[in-house]
Amino acid sequence: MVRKKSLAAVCLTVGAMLLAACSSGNSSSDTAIGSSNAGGSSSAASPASGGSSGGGSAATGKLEVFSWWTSGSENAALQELFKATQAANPGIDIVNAAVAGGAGTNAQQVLATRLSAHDIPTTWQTHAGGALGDYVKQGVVADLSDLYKSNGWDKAVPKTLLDSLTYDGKIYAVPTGVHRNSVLWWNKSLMAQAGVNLGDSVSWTQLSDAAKALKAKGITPLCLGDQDVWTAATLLEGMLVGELGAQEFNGLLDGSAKWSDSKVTDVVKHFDEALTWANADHKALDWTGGVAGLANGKCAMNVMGDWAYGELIVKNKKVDGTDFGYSILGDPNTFITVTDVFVVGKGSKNPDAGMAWAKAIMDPKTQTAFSKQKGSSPARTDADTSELGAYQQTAAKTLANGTLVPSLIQGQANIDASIGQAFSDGVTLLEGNHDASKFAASMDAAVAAAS
Amino acid sequence: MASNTLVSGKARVRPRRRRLRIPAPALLLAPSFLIVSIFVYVFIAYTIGVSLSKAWRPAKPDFTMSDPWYKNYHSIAISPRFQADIRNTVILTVVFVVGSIVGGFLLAVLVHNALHARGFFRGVFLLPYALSFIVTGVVWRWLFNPVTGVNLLLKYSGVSSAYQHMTGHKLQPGWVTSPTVVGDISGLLNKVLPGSHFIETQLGIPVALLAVALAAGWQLTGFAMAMFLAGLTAIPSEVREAAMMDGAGGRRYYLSVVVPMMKPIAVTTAVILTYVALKMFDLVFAMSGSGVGFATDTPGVYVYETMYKALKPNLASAASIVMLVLVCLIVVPYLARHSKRQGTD
Repeated sequence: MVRKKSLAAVCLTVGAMLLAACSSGNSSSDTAIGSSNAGGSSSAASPASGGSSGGGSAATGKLEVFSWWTSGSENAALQELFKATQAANPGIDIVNAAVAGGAGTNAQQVLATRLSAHDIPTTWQTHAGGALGDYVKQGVVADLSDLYKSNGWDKAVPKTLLDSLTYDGKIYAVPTGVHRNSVLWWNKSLMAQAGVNLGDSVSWTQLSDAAKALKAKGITPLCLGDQDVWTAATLLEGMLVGELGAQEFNGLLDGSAKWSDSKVTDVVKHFDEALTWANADHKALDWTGGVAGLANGKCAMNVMGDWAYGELIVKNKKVDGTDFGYSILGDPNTFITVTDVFVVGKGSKNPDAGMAWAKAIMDPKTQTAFSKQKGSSPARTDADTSELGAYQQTAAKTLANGTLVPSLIQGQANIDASIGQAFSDGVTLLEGNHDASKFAASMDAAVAAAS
Repeated sequence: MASNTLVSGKARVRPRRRRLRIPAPALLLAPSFLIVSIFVYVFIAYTIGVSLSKAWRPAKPDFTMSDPWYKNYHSIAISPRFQADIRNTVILTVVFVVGSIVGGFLLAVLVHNALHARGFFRGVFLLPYALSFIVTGVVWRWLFNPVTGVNLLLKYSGVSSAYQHMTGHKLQPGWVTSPTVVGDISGLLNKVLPGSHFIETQLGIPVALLAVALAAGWQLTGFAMAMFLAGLTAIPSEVREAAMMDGAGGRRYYLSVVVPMMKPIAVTTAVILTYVALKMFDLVFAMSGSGVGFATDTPGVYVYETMYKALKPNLASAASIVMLVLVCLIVVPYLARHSKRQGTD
C-alpha cells in the first residue's frame, strides 16, 4: 500500500514538473499565455477592467508602478504622482512596486527578468537616453507621440530634453522632473576664511586658485565621497562640460570629436590634480559623506548633482545662501540634465492605466508638486516654480532658456549605455594609474565600438 | 516491509516487488534529474548561447552569433578591467584560502586542547561564519576607513608617531582605498612572453585586496576550524599514545602525525573555500566596491555592472562562463578524485 501511494506521488511530481517545464517554455513565445501565467489571480480582474475603461475617459483597474524611489524625498515625490493619478482616475488601484538601491541597477535586474518572461509592467521608471533607447530597441515601450501632440506637451518640454526621449521621430517617455548634474557647492564660512569669492561661473584657474588659498589655510579644498566611482566621474563630467563647452562635449560622445585631443586630456589632467585636494577618506565614503563633509566644515567644495541641495537642507539642516553657496563650472547658462522619466509598457495588462498615469505626470500642477518634494526642476517649463526653493527657481530658469547637456555618467545621452560604463571604468583606472592618455584611448575605443 | 513479507508469505509479495524494483529508482531520480537538467544545464547552455550572441536582449532573445564567434570573449580578454579581475581572483583565492586553512587549523588545535570553556571558544570562532557577507563587508569598511577606522588605534597607541619619528613618513595606511600594487611583474612578462603586450593591468598584489582577504578570512576561518576540530576529535587516542611511546612529544606529534592525517580535511576545506573566493561578490560590493584602479574588483562585480549598467548581456554572460570554467577547474578534479576513491573502496 505504502509503496503504491509513493509511486503515485512520484508520478504526480514528475507530471507536474513536465507541465511546469512545458508552460515556461511556451510563455516566452506567446505573450498572452506568459502574462496570464505570471499574473495568477490578479490577471482575472484585468481583462474585465480593461473592457470597462474603454468606454469612459477615466482609467480603472490595477496600475503597477515600477521605480527605484524608496528614500524619504523620493517616496514623497512618488506619492504626489499617485495622488494626482488617483484624483483624475478614482477607480484606479495603484500598486507601488519600488525596488531599492543602486540608482536603478537593482530595479533593472527585476525588470529584465520580467521582460524576458514577457510579463511587462504597466509603467516603469528609467533614464532618458541610452537606457530608454535599449527598451525601444526591444520593442517593449509604447509610442506616446500622439499624447504629446494632442496635449501640447511637445511645446512645454525643452527641445534637448524631448530629443533624449525621441527615437526615430517617436516620443517614448514622460519626464517627471529634471535634476542638474555637476553643480559646485561650497561652504560659505570656509571660503570666507580663505578669502575666496566665487561667482556664478567658475573657471579651472579660479578653481585651482581657490584650492590653493584653502590649502594655505589648512582647509581641505575638495569634499568627495567616491566609494562608488560615479561621484568622481560627476566631477570630471562637470569639468569637461565647463572647460570644453556643451558642443565640444556632445561631439566627444557622438564620435565627431576625439578624446585623445590635447584639449580633452588637459581637462583630464586637471581632474587628476583636483583629486589630490580631496579628503583622505574619500574612497571610503559615498556621495552623502561628501556632502556631509561640506556641511560640517571639514572640507570646502563639492561637485554633485542638485540632489545634494535636498541633502544639505533637509538632512544637514543648512540654509541656502547663509551656510552654503553654489556655482557652475564654466558657462552658468549650461545645464547638465538628469531626467527622471516613466515609460508605458507595450503589451502590458492595463495600457489605459498607463496612459492615465502619463497624463497625470504631465499635468503642470503635478510637475510642481513633484519637484517640491524631489528637489528637481519641473520638466514642463510652463509649470509654476514660485513655490520652489531659491536654488530651484534659478535652475528652472536655466532649464527653460539655457543650453542643455544630457549627462553622460547618469546615462542620459542618446548613446549606447556601454559608453557611460566605459567612462566610469576609465575614471576607476585613472585614479590608479593617473594616465590621461590611456583614459582617452579607452574612451575613443568605446565610442568607436558603440557606433 | 520486512515483517510484512514474513507474515503474508513470500510467494505473493516477491513478484510484485521484483516488478517494482526496476522503475522505482529511476522514477525517484527522475524529478531531481529533470530539475537539475533544466535549471542547471539548460541554463548554462542558454548562457553560453547569450555569450556568443551579437546582441541578445531580455525581451528580444536574438541568438545571432557575433562575428567572429569568440568576439565577446576577445573583448573581455583585452579589457584592462577584466584582466584586473582575473588577477584579483587568483590572489584573493590564494591568500584567503591559505590564510583560512592555516588559521583554522591553529585555532582548532588551540580549542581542541583548551582545558576550560571549549564550547564557548568554539562558538566564538564559529560565530562570524553565521553572518552575511554584506554585514561583514559593511563592518570592515568602517574598520578600514583610513581616517576614522583602525588608523585611530595606530594613532592613539603611539605607533603612528613612533613610525613617523623613525622613518620621517606619516603612517596612514589606506587599506581598501590603497592604489598600490606590489611586485608588479608585467614588465618582466613582456620581455619573456613576446605576445603578452595585451595585458594592460599591473600583474602584482594589490594591497587593498589583502584587506578584503583579511575580512573574508575573518569570516571563514571559523568554518575551517570547525572542519579541523571534527577531524581532530576523530583521531583515536591510541594514535596519540602510540606516538608518545615512540617518543614523539608535542610538536613532533602534530607535525608528523596530526598534519598528515588532516590532509583530506584540508583538501575538502580548500575546495569549498576556493569556490567561495572565485564567486566573491557581496563582500567586495559592500566593503570596497571596485577599488582604486580596480584593485578590489572581482569578476562577479564585473558581470553585474556589465549586465545592468552597460546593458551588455552578451559580455556579462561571457564573463560568467569564464567564472564557471574557473570553478570547474577546481571542483571537477576534486569530484573525479572523490568518485574514483569511492569506486576503489
